[in-house]
Amino acid sequence: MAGPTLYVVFLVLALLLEGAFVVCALCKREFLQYLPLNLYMLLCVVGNCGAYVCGRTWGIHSQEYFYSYYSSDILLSVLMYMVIAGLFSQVFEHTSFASYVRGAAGILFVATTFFALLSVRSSGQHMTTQFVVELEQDLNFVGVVLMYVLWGAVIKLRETRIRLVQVVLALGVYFSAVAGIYALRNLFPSIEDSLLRWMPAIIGLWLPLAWTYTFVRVPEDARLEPGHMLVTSH
Amino acid sequence: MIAALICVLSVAAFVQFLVTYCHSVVAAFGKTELSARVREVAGMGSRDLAVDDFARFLQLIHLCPEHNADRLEISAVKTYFAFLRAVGFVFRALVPSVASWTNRELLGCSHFAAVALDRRMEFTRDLYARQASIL
Repeated sequence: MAGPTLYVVFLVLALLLEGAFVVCALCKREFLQYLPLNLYMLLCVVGNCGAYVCGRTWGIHSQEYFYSYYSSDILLSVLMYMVIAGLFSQVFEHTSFASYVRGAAGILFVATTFFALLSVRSSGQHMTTQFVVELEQDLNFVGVVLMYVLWGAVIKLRETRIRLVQVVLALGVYFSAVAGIYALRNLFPSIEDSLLRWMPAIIGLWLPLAWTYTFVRVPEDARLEPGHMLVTSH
Repeated sequence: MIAALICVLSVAAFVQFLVTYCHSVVAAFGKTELSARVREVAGMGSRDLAVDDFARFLQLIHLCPEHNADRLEISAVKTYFAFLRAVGFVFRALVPSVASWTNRELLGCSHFAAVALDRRMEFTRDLYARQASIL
């Protein structure tokens, strides 16, 4: 099993990348413009700091660490739905569906929060690895489905804003990778203690890395040539 | 059963999202015109860009002083190029439409490398100009 050194390396890398994203947004005065993304990253920083404190206090193999890590991760997954809702409203902002999208996003957010809180609460002190793996797998797979719907909308509406396209695609990569890993862990519980256990943490580095790249390298007004961007449309 | 289904669908979605993401990174450079300087350095003359130019552009990029800002994206596109080459090789005989798509993408990668080279040359020129002004 990978030890505490590897854990600290991932944690520090994640903190640096998430912090870099927020600092870039602040420097470019785009914090409020992309508020859901920045809030998510800020809460990731808080979650990672909390995980570090728990790991240091009780050890990374303790029940307390396990509970705090997965509780914050599930809540962050729910918060991620708010980010998706924000992206949906950006994609649909110039269409007549905008108000419906906002309504649907609100319902989805409330329903998911309720479902996640209920699941975590009902498990209580008996929160098992099998339970969290299944819950994470389901939450992330819903994310994959939502990203497919959003990607379909991007294609249909011929969205050309490079930033928006790259943010959506990076999120799609993230959700599908995490859902796949949790599904694998669910399928083969015997390999739970292998590298698979650390894969969500490694994949977690992807999102701040990809988003920071997009916001640093791609100007706000950059556009793709219509019809040029879509692999799926060829 | 459900976990297996989610696993297969997620892997398929992952590959598709990742390829499309790489495509969007390369396509973002599609609008940038190649300068006469790059054409001259690469010995292109007035001919169109070709897939095989990618390797030459990369060699030329490595001759320029290191520039941290583009190192990551050049490495990512290099990996994407190798992946496309492999996909194109496998599907060339089986699915011609996939082969023609990979060819278009490979051309995009060459264009990206040319733009990256142009930027590196610009950076190098600025560097020398600054050094000259100090001396």
